Amino acid sequence: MRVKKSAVLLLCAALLPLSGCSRAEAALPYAHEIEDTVLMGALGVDLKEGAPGRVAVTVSSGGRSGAGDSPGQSPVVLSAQAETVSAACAEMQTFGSDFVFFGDVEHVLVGEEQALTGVMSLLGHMARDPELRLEARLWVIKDGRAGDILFDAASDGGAPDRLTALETDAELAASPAPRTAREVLSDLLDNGCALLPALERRPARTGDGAEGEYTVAGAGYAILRNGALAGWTGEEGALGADLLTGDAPGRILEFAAPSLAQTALRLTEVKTELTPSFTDGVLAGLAVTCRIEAQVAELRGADGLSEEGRIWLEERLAQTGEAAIHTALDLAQTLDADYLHLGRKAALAAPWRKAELETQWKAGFAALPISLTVTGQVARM
Amino acid sequence: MGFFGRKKVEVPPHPRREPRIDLPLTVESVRQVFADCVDFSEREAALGGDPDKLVTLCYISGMVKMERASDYVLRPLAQDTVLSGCGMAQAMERIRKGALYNLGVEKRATMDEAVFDMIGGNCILFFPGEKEVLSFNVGTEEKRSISDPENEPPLKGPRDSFVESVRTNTSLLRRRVRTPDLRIRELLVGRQTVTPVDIVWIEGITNPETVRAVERRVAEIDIDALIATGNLEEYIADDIHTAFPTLAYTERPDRFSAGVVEGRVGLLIDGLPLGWLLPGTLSQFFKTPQDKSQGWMAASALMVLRYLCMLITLFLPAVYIAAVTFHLEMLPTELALSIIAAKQDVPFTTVFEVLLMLVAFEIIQEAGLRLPSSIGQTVSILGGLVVGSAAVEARIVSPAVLIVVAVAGIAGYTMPSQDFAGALRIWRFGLAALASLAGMFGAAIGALLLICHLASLESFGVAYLTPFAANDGEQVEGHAVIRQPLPSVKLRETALKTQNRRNQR
Repeated sequence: MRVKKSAVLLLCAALLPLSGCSRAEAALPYAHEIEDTVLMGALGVDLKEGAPGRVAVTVSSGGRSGAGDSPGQSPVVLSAQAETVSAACAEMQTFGSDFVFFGDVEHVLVGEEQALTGVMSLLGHMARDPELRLEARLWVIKDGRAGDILFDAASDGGAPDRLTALETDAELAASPAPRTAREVLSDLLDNGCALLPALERRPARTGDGAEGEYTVAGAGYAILRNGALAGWTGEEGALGADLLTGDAPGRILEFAAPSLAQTALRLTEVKTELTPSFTDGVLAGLAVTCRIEAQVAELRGADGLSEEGRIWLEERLAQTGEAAIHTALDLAQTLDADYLHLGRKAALAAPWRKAELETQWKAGFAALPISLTVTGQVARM
Repeated sequence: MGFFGRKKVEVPPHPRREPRIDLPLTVESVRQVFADCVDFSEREAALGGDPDKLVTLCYISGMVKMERASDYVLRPLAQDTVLSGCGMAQAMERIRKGALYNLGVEKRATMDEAVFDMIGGNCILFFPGEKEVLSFNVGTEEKRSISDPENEPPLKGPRDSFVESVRTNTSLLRRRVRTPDLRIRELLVGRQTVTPVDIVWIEGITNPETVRAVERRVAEIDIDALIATGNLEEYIADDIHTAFPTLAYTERPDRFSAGVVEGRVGLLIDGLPLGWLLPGTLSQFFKTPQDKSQGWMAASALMVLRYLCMLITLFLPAVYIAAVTFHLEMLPTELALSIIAAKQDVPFTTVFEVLLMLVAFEIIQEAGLRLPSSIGQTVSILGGLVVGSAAVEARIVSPAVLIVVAVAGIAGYTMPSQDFAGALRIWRFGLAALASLAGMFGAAIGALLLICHLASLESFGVAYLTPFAANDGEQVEGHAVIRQPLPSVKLRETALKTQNRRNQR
């Protein structure tokens, strides 16, 4: 009986090639010794300079400390050019004996030129590639190239660490929030536009804490429309976007007035309400009400905050918020890109009007009259 | 040696002689049987002191208790004057009916009976001219005293354990299971050892089919010696082509008693301080006697921990190989970087490293087991700590592999059954080898094979994976992974097919 079973098993094994798995390496996963592997942590995609249609892909690993007596390893930065991202990545495997592993890429940087051309092919590659993950954070480089940032950071511990630090800072200081490739892809497919955090390569100044000549800093948001870069929010527009999306708590706003000391306010809560209005079943306008709550984080040159000073701060807070939201809304209407998901929020506010909103929103958003009311409240000390 | 293996050799027949000693039942025959046996002794005694009426007492020194033979057999034999007035047949009948004080006396009519009685510690009284003899139970009771169980230490429960005497073991069982429905049937196994094997069960609870099956399989054992546990286990197990034990054993009478009361059939063997419980199912090998002594929540947590440890000991080396060699994406970046840093300058591949360390672990464990406990501990310390840390410092193995193998090994020690832990160790090698060929795909294939293999096993008609894979379609009573509070477990296991399923009001 056992002989028969073994014979059947052998026969099945012999028939395996008929299933199409004739080559063992095609059927089984590839083995790589981990110590001969370079774990890439950041990937940058740019248009190749002087060669339209070709992409320049730069990848960078993080630096690592050695275990015991063994020395650590400096960050490895590789760059390759090809017609597609996948071809460039494949070419990097030929650069040395080590296996270049993209499964640990946590940050993907897109240069401005590449972003203007479009990011859909990159996102598609990330979705299909067995190693790259859509959970990687996506950044757009304003006025610069992703490769430059990766090469600059190599002398300062590696780009992955720097970008992770930026991500953590963004969570702590409520600066433009990082987005995963999955979120961006989902927004682009659902909404046709998406908001992406922008980075800027600036010359390092004394006191920046950077070791190299350049440093990387947040630069508001990039707005993608139809898969390509459509505009930048700037700092004021970024604040407005954060106020409308509810990501602003934690931000520090500074105010100075001749009668008051220098004051820093920390936003504690932002509550935004959207109310669509209809006339004869036609979308006629949108009322945006925003209430910003803050507390004093720091007072310089004064012992305490007077009631008059508090009221003045509340007014300034409301004015600042209103200006920021105006900028963000104007940008959205100018670009005809509802990157703030106002339509979805309006439908949530008036669910009985959902069907009308869905049909009229896209056509009417660019010219939709929007009224804005912003109030500020500063907690007593 | 042929190309396809060894050539088959004709096995000569091994007929059993019946009767085994084909001689008349006389003193001369006994002398002939025990020729060249220095421990064979005989003594003549005069009935009631009459020198014309001599009887012969035969026994084996060391097997009988001398005081008993002297006080309860020889003394009344010589002092009872009535016996001198009787004929041999009358004297024999009078002695059998109580003229001698000894508790146990039987008539024997064949040499086989008489000889095996002598070997068992009886003394045989020959009456000249008579065809039958009297056999007196005057065996010595020298045996190891009941001590704490060494392999199943009790935390909260009785502290006795089985000993090598089967009769002592049955008494330990009787003291716990006082029902008159407890049945103990004895069979003799082994042509040369003639070892008593006791089958125990409770009439009215245990499935009679299981009892008959156990009895039949034990009766069919025709071997020279029943000395080691394998002499029994490998002959009565349903499938011996498996590393997994299909018979559960214990050295604790309380656990044995609980099993018998649960509806299982027990086996006790003279000379082995263990008791077997049949049928054996997978969940049985995760249970400890403490489970019912602790609160049900704590017991459940520990049970879950044991199952978790089973998965760790089985799959951790395989998953490590798969993750590090094939699927780096499984590892968080920081962990991968730590492993890379630790593996720098190590000359071996990850697969070789893991297999090497697994083998080294087995060697250290085996060396520790074979040596006296004090030296064994030294070997463990030397092997585990000194050699391990030296190997890491010398960059022969990476610390990560050392940790993985040590964690897998320690997790294996949580298994209450050493046999089961041994099976897991064997499969651990197989899974690691499969993972080294095809990563997680290989490990998954290995896991599939393991499940199929376990599902194919049976023990006395009960599926080995009971109650996970088969419980005759009924809800599990009691605990498989989670132990329910005992008052709510009102039925015995369905798979045991007990006659009376209810176990409490």
